[in-house]
Amino acid sequence: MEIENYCGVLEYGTDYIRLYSSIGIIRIEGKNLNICLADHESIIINGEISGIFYENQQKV
Amino acid sequence: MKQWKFISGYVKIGIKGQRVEKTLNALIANGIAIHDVSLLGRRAVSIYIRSDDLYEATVLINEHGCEPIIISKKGITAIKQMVFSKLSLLLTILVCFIVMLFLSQRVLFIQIDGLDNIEEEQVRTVLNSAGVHEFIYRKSIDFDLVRTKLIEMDESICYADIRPSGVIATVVIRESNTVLKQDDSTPASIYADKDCTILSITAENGKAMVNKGQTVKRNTLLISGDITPAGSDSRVLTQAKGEIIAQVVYRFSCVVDSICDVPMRTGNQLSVTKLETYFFEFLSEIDYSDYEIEMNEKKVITAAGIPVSVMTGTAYELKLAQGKITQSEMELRARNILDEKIKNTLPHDAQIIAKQTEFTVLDGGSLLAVISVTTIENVGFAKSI
Repeated sequence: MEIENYCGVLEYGTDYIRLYSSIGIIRIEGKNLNICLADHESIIINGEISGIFYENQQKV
Repeated sequence: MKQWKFISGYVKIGIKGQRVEKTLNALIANGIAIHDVSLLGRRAVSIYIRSDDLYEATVLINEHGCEPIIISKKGITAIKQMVFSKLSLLLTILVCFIVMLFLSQRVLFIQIDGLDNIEEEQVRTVLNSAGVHEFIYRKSIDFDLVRTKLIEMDESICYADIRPSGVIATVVIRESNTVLKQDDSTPASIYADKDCTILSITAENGKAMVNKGQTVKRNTLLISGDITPAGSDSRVLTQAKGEIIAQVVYRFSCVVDSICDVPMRTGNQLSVTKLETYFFEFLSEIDYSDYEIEMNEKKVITAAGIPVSVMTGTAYELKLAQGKITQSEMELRARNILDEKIKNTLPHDAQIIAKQTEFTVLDGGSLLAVISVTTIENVGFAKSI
């Protein structure tokens, strides 16, 4: 999964990754999550993704 | 992609610390692309970055309070770097080896051993004339020529040789204690110039009259120039030549009085300052001709990165006055006197192998010091028959 225009990594684990973006905090949950590439434009996350959430909001 | 990564070169580094995510964001914000982020523990990750970004990344990681650990370097850049560093190391080793090989075939140092009256400079001049000098190819030395030239150099030389050992060539010279004024063919014998025990005797000309281990008195005949065969009617005489190495025991003594002139404080004193660093020391000017200094305080300051010790103290003026000295001071004086006697008496080629000093306190407080010095030296002197 590739996410563009993100602002930074808030938290990184194998079960979840929290990203900061202009529209809030995005939480990606799953198993064996791995940041494959991260640069100033986008971030590519590999692994078994079970869900993506805006924190304090509902599931996307 | 993988091929491109390999060509451009990449580095796997570990980031360890409390703020790993913040460090990753800082790397990305500074234009450093990171790949394959893997968790190594609660507070540690490993990432891949391009080789070119390594320096900047290391600085940023340190700035964010984390510790960078280079796990591996991959790709053509890393291989090139490794090959060049190993190649330069190999080249350095090879050059060193060639230089060492070149130098090991040559004489780098010339030692001259056994000189008594003859000057070393004289010997070196003769060696130069025989083609022997530093950096000469060892195999090009003409040993016979050197021996002949050295023996011809001075009529007091009874034995000369050059012995190369590795890069050192040792020139061994033995001088006769008495110079024969006559020409070389004058028959002569060699006698002991002092009481001694013979350690080795080599007769080049003449007949050895003593054996190894034998103790001989002064003027004992050591190598006879009379080589008349048994039963012959006419005497056959030659000029005896050879080397006689013997063990000699010398005894020196002196008496030191307990009352003598010793430096004493006059009562005049002044403050002094001393600066001391690696390269020099500076002491403030003292007008006294003789003085002793007691330092009271020491401070270390740093000037342009160099530590400088600043010491302050007092200089006390000293003048010679009659006084009583302690036994250890008497022993020290006695040792100095005896050392001077040894220096003035022993031949230059004498090798000291043992020393023993005995002190006896005499009536009246004086100290009697006796020193026994055992040496190994050449003891022969030539005397015409």
